[in-house]
Amino acid sequence: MTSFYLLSFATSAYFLGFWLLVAHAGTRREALGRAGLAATWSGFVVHAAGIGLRWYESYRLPGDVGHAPFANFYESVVFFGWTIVLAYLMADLRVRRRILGVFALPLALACMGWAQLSGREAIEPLMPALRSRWLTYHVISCFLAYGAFAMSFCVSLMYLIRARTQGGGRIGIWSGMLRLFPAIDVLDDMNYRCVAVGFPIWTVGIVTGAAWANYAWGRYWSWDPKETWSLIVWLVYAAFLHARLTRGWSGRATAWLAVGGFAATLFCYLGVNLFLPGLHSYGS
Amino acid sequence: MNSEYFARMRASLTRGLRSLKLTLISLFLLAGSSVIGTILPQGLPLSEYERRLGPFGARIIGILQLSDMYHAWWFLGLLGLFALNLAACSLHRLPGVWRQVLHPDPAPGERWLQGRPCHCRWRDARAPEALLPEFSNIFTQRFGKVRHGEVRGVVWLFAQKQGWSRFGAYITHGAILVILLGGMMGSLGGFRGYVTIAEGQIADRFYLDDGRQSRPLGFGVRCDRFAIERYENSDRPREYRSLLTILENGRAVPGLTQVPVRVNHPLRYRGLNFYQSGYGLDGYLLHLSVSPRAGGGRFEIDVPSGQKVGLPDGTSVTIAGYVTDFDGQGPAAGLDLHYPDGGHGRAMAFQSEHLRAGDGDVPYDFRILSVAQRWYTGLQVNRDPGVMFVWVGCLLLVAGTLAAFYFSHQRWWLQLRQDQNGTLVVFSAQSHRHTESFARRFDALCRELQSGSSPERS
Repeated sequence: MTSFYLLSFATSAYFLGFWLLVAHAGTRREALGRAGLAATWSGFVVHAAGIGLRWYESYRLPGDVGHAPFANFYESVVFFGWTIVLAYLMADLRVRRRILGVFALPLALACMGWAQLSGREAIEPLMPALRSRWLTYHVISCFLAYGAFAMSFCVSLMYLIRARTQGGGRIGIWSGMLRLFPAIDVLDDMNYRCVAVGFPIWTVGIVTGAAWANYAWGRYWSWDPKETWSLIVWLVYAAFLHARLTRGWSGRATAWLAVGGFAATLFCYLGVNLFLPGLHSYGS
Repeated sequence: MNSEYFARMRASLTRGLRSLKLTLISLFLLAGSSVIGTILPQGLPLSEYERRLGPFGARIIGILQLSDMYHAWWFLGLLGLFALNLAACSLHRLPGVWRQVLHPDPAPGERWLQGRPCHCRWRDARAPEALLPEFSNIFTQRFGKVRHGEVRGVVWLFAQKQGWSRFGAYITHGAILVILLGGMMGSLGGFRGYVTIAEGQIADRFYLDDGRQSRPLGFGVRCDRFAIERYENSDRPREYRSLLTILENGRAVPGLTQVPVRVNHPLRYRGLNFYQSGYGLDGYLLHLSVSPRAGGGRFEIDVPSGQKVGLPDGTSVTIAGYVTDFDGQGPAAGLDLHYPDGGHGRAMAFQSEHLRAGDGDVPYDFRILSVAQRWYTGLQVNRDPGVMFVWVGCLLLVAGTLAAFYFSHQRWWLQLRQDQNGTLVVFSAQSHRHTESFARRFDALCRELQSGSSPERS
C-alpha cells in the first residue's frame, strides 16, 4: 500500500517543518521560517495525495470494499491531521506569520503519530449502515470544521500568551518569540475568523449527519451522545459568536471560550467514542 | 399608578427577553445541561438508578426527570426560553436592518460619516462638478451599482454590496424556530414503532416503541425474502436486504412488489416509512438422515423447528436446540425423542462427518444432511409529519449561517462639499464584518481616489 508510505512521508515532513519553525522562532532567521513552511507545504500536498491514493486503492481491492477513506478511526485521524494543516496554511496565507505553525503543527503531528502507531491502517470493508453517500459529505464537513476550530484554539493560545506578557508580566523566554507573533488585535480577529469559517461548515456537518440518520434509522435526531456533543459544540461556538457582539466579552474571555469550544470539539471527536456508548462506533 | 407599574414591568420584561445576555445564558445552560444526558444513562427504570446511585440520587433523578432529560419539563422550558429570546430579539432588530439595507440613507451627516471605522478626507482645488465623473467612474468599476445626488449643497455618492448577508443572522434564527416546530410536530403528531415479519408472512399491525400497544398499519406488508449479503471471502455483512410487497385488501399493489429495502434505503408508503433495522432466525427445517442402530434401512426425514415428526416405529422427534455452527464444524441440533412406550431420550445430530453422537440408549443415529433457514426481518416503522419542516429549517440554517459569516454588508459613502478653496472630499466606509482586510482595501481605494486629485492633507 503506497498510500501508507505517502502518509509516513507527510508525517516526517511535518516533523521537520515543526522543528525548522521552532528554530525560526528561536533565532528569528527568516530563511528557517521559509524552509519550515516549505516542508509543511510539501507534507500537506503528499498528505492529500496519500488520502486520495488510499481512496483509489480501496477500489482496487478484491471483494468490492471500495469506499471514501473516512470510515474508521485511523482514516478519520489522518484526515483530521490534514484539515488542521489546511487551516494553518490558510491562516498563514492571510497573515504570513510562520510562528503559527509552532502551535498548529504539534496538533497535526499528534494526529499523524497516533495514526501511525495505531497499526490499524488496513482498509476495512464498511458495515451496512456506513454504506451511504452521506458518509463522505458528513465526514468531510465535520472534519473541515474540526480543523478550523483547532486553528482557533492555536490562535487563542497565542492570544492568551500575548495578553499575559503584555500586561507587564514575566516575559523571559517569550521575548524573542513574541516579536514574531501577530499583533494582539490581529490574533483576536483571526480567532473570530476561524470560528466564523468553521461554524457554518459544522452546521453542514450536523445537518448532513441528521439527514443520513433519517435514512438509516428513521430519525434525524435521537440524542445519541455523539449527536448531543455535536450540538454542545455548536452551542458553545454560537455563544462565542454572540459574545463578541456584547461589550465586555472580548479578548481574553472569548479566547478562553474558544479554548473551551475546542475542548468540547475534542470530546465530541474522541471522548464520546472512548468513554460513552453510542452509534458512532468507529473508535472501538 | 398600578397600570404604570405593570407597563414598566412589561417593558423591562420584553427588554430582558430580547437581550443578548439572555441569549448567552440560555446557550450556556443548554450546552451545559446537555452534558448530563450523555454521561447519565438514559431511559433506565428508576429502580436501576436507585441501585446504582442510592435513594437520594434516584430522588433527584425522579424530580428532574433526568432519566429522559431531553424531554424533561425544565429542558423543554429552557428550549422554549431560547426560542422566545431568538424570536423577540430578531423581531426587535429586523426592521432596523431591513431599513438599513433596502432603504439606506445615502447622504448621512458629516459627523456620522466621521464616526465610521474607515474614514479619510482631503481637499481638492477643483470644483465638485469636475471631480464627480472621475469618482463616479471608480465607484462604478468597483461596486457596480452606484447612487448619487445632491443635498444641501453637498454632492454625494453611495454604494453598497452584499446587503442581503445582513439577513443571514435572521434566516438562521428563523431556521432554528422552524426546526423546533418540526421537531414538536414530529413528537406530537408522529410515532415510532417496530414490526417483525417472517419470510412468506404478512404483517398488518406494528408495535409502538413505548409500551406494548400495537396499531394497525392500514395495509399489509409481506416479506418475500430476507438476505444477508457478505463481502467476498469474509463473514462481514455487506448488506441486509428485505424484499417487501405492499398489499391492499390482500392484493399486491402494482409497482410495490418485491421492493428491496436496505439499510440507508427505506420504503415509504401512505405516510409510513419502513427502515431495515434488524433480523433474526424465525425457524429452520432440518433434513435428517436416520439410521436405526438395530439394523434395517436408512431413511430421511424433514423436521421443521417447533414441530413433532413421527418415525415409522411410532417414535416422535422434536428439535430441542439448534446452533448454526458447533465448534467450527457446522450445524448441530439436539433432538428430543418420545418413544411409543411413553419413555423419552435425547440425541445429537451433526452435519460434520467428524462428529458422532455417542449416546448408547437411543436406538437411532441422526445426521444433518442439510438445513433450510427461515429468516424474519425487523423493520422500524415511523410517521413524522414534521420532517419536511426540519429539512426546510436545515436548508435555511445552512444558507443563513453561510450568508452571515462568509459574506459581509459593505457600504461606501463619498461626499463633496464646495468651499472657497475648492472641494472638501469626505470618504467613509463600513463593513459589518471582515474589518481588517476591508480596512486595507479601503486604504488602497482612498489612495486611488486621491491620486486623481491634488491632495492636501487636512
